[in-house]
Amino acid sequence: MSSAVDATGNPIPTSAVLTASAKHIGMRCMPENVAFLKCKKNDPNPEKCLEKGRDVTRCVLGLLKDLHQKCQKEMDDYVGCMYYYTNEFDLCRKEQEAFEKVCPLK
Amino acid sequence: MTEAMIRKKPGMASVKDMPLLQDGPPPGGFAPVRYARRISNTGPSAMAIFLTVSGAFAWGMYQVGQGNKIRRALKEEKYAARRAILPILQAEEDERFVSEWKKYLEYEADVMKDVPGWKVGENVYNSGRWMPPSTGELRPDVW
Repeated sequence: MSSAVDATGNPIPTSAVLTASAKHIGMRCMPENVAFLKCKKNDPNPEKCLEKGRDVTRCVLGLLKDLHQKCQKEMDDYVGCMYYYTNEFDLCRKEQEAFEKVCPLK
Repeated sequence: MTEAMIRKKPGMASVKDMPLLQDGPPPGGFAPVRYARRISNTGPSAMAIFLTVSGAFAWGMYQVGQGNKIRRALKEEKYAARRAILPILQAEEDERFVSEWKKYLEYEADVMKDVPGWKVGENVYNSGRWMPPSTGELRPDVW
């Protein structure tokens, strides 16, 4: 699977797509992630943390769609490079810089 | 042609008086040959060699430390990426697990409906903590 989007244009959260946007996720979805992890630490039962999990999923999938709309070509290149090199950051520096120039981390 | 015919000397009485034909040194003898050791005492002193070697070692270890710093930064980047995407992966798995677990509980209720006193899906442990099911089949569609 070398395309980052499914039929309706939403980015599919494959490992390549997720690692490519990992820095953005870590920065912009940090509150939801932290809340989910705290809930999990409190009680590992999956049924108890479903709401927070849905918050996380909503945030991350929305962020992926947003990134894909803003810098489609750079993100596709970066995701393709990640897919080719199995999520090795050091082998995709060029594509990473191009991606972060267009969609900055701020 | 015998030797006597070649090397004869006039007035020779027997073969034993023939002039000598030997391989010998040239007149005046050979030139003298040096066979004494000549190992010079010049060159770097022991302290100089020691300092050079330890200097090279120290510089090499410094380069190793720099390289380790770079490698640690790369590993940190990888681990930070994994930490960032852990929650969404866990959330997706939780959703899948909850739906599968509900189906399993219905199946269990169906199978055990005639057994008196059976509480469906009760925790087999008494600690109160949630434990993942240990049926040995984590994801039957995958395994």
